[in-house]
Amino acid sequence: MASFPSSPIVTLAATDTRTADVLRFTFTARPQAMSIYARFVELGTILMTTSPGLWAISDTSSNNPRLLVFPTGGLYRLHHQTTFGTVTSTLAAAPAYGDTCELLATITAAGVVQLSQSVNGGAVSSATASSALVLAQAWSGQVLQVGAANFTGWRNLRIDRGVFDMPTMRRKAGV
Amino acid sequence: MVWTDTDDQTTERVLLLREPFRELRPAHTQTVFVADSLDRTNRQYFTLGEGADELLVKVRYQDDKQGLLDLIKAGSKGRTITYIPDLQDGDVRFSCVLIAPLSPTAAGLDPDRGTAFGELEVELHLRKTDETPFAGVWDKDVLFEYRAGGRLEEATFTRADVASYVAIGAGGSYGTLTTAASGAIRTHWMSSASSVGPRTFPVLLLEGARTNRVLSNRNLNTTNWAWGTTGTVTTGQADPWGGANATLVNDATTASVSDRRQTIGITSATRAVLSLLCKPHTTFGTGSFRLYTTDAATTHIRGSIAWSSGKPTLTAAVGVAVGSPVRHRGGFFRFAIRTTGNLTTGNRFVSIRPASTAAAQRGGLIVTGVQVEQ
Repeated sequence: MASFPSSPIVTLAATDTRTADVLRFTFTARPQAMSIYARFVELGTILMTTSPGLWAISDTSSNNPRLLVFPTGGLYRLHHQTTFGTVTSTLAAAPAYGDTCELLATITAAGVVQLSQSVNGGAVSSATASSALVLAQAWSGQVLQVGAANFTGWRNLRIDRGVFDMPTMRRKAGV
Repeated sequence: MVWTDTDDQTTERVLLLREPFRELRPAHTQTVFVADSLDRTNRQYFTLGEGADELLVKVRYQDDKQGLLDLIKAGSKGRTITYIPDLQDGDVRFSCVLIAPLSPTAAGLDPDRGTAFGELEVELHLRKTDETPFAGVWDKDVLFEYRAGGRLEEATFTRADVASYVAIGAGGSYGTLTTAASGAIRTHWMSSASSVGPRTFPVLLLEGARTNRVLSNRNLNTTNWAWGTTGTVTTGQADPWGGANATLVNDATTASVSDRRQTIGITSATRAVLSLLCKPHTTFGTGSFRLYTTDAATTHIRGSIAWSSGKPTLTAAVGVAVGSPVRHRGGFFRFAIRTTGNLTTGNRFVSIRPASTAAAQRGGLIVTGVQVEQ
């Protein structure tokens, strides 16, 4: 459902379709305490009613165990799922189209997840942290997927071992 | 660091480092031939392949003296040496070959603890067996890092066709629309949301699939377009791609309101968004763009654009404006308005009116890139 424009698509005698960008990296680190810092220009992902995730650590089919951020009900949610359960942390406010958004997703050694956000360099707001969920021995796959049917202008993506706050991750990312 | 050597009796040799590598420096090696003309106005390059990325590191405080020497001996025989920065995360590892030092060699004494405790120091020059860069080695706690405009050679990317993005450097930093080839990752330049200034930062642009339902979306002088109320169209106008594919739609009379329109198909019961790029002609009024039913009974989108000193003010009289107008080269701005609710399937008119119905209104809009998406 189009609630926002995408990049210009030139047409001539017929309608034209631009296919999706799909970008994946190899990610070999095991489940552990991590901080995932994402800085991007919001180009519509937050407005999507179905989305495989802003980013996701899993296999290419998004099976469990996995860790991902995706939009739900117009808000970003951090989702940690294993064969033993699911815990989430959902923000209470959303960026608007064109905003520069910073999301910090943290997961502790106990599997507690928390998502924090700053829009256009404003104050950092944090969602309620989840309850604990024992970390799996491995993610379902060694894939970091960034962009599959999403609409995002990526500026920075950084994953560090350990739990850090937004100012620390900004400094680490050189922001 | 671990390695296997058929000359050893063990399944695997291990050199435990007292601390992570120090003084890490990237390096690159490639066969390059360069020739400068005598007057230095021409320079020719000849390269073989892409070369190999390498890493120089310093091993400090090494108290396993024979182990360190055996590592160098294994490297001198071309054995694969694997560096594991953190044994708590053993799948994060780098398989390397040793470029230097090769035998014959001797390790040096560590400058801090060598004379007192006999610990050794050596600089290793390593190359990954796949010759790719040592991503994530700079800090053992960095598991992944990407900055817009950075390297993506080791990533897997697919997009099965061409796509647009904005480049800077020609026509000023307001942005030139450019076409990326199929499979090319787009580095797209942007300015901040509230700015109509130059584009000052790059992003990696990733988008889902979308269809533009408007035909001949840059040339409004084809039979895909028609007049609701007659005006004039002139093609061949300079456009934000740096070409001449924009169309002047002109309303030269105050007696009527010119309306250039196209019948498009709404194929799903969802919202739609109408976007276009335009700039004012030398004589301009308050233009508008619309999406409405072919019996004119219902307007889904109506956006009016007032101009002052080349700067637009967009008013969404019907629908919701999405973002602010985005400036492009040549004085073009991109505007977008979406419907407030879902549409029913069927035909609609997408319409460009260069001037309003107000008294004495006339003028032209130079238009390109008309787009309706669902």
